[in-house]
Amino acid sequence: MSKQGRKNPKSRWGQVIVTRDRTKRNLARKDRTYDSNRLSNHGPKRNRKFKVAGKRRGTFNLEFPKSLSLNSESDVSELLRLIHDMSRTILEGKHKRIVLDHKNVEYMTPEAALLILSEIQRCEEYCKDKTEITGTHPRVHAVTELLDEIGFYEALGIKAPKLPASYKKRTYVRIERRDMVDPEIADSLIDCFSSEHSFPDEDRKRLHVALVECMDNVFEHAYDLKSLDPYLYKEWWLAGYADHSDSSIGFMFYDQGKGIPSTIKKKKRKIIERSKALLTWTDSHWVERAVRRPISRHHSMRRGHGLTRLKRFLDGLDVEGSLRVVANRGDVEFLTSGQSVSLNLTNDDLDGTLIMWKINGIKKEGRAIRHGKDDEDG
Amino acid sequence: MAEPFYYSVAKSFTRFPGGRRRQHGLHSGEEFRESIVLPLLSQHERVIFDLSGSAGYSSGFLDEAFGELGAIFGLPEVERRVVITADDDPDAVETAWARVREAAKESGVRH
Repeated sequence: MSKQGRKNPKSRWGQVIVTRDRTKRNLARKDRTYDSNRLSNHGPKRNRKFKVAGKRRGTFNLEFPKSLSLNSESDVSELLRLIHDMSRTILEGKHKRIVLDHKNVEYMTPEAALLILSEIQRCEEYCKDKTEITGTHPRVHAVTELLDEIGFYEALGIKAPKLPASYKKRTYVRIERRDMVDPEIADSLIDCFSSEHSFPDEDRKRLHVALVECMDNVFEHAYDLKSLDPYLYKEWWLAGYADHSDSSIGFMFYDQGKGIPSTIKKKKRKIIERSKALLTWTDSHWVERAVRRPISRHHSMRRGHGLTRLKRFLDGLDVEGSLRVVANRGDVEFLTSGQSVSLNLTNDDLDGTLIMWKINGIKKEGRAIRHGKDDEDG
Repeated sequence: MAEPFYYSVAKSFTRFPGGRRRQHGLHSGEEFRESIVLPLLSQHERVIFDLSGSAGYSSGFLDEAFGELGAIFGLPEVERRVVITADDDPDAVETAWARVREAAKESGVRH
């Protein structure tokens, strides 16, 4: 509270400040409204070309489906539809209050939580003075627990509900959101993995480097400065886990930019227009191509190594695992067996690029390493 | 011939090297080249860069920090004046030299 407000409560400015402070305090007490900047240590950069216009009235209840995951094609469609509905309702719906109704959610995966959280944070950033975004807690404790452990509530600045003490916890690296390359976050993620599996120094460095390159790629390729879309420029989200029950570790990395296929198609437009074969390529083709061999907009062998490195690191581990990349309408999963599974999303597309990397059933001892040279493909 | 100057990145710059450019965050390759590598090369005939002890070097960092030297000075000059070493990270040394060679080739600098 300002001194002016305390000394002269009758002054007009003082009253405004006092009222504003009371409102803030009340909201904080109730812990009800989402405040995505409470934990953010930076001011996200909005796209000034995108405006949220119009007067806002009434409350809209957006009901979440029972299952939120990326496990099957229909799950992916349902989740992407929800995210688009959420974004459209909040940014264009002209409602004063939006209730994100989680009550019926019975199953949710960490990557779904990450996508939903990032979308809430984006929308909140664009209409924080116009629309109040709030929500309900899921009835199923497992979902609440996941949201709590992954830092969903903390990131949105709301109080998590109490859970029965009997729940077994996974070790999660809580969702981190940054707009710069932060190698120390990569290090803390690998520290979390070490509860389940300690990488030899050489592998630890390789994974660290791959993560830093994911962050670096966001600046190099992800966001289009000329776009009219509601971007939070340079922003990326990272979450990870180490699961004791099935000895698995993994992380998810997401940016809300243009997505790999759109970026490549824009940068390589002339080459694509000259080739009949490339014109027929789906988004999955482009994702697969980008992961298997570096693609650089600069026509340089010196760039575009991030995803390739991540895949090569996975291939070098003698364990079962996968690298899955979802971007626009492309969805490709690369398995350690050398196979890849592609899916073309037909109904909805993902804004940006989601990278999911995991290894399962880690052998505690006697692990073989089959690393190739770092620049074989380069 | 004077003794080469020894520089440990982990001890004197950072244990957590960042990304490619300054605008991408702290301890970037560009920052390292502009504030450390080029001034050292202007003061000393030969410099040993020891990459040991760091958490890991992204190829963007190495490209910007060392690769760019290939474009500025040309490969023979860089090979003559720069030594890159790392006890615990042979990948980084290999990648750094690969970037120097590629940069020299792409820029077409001949000395």
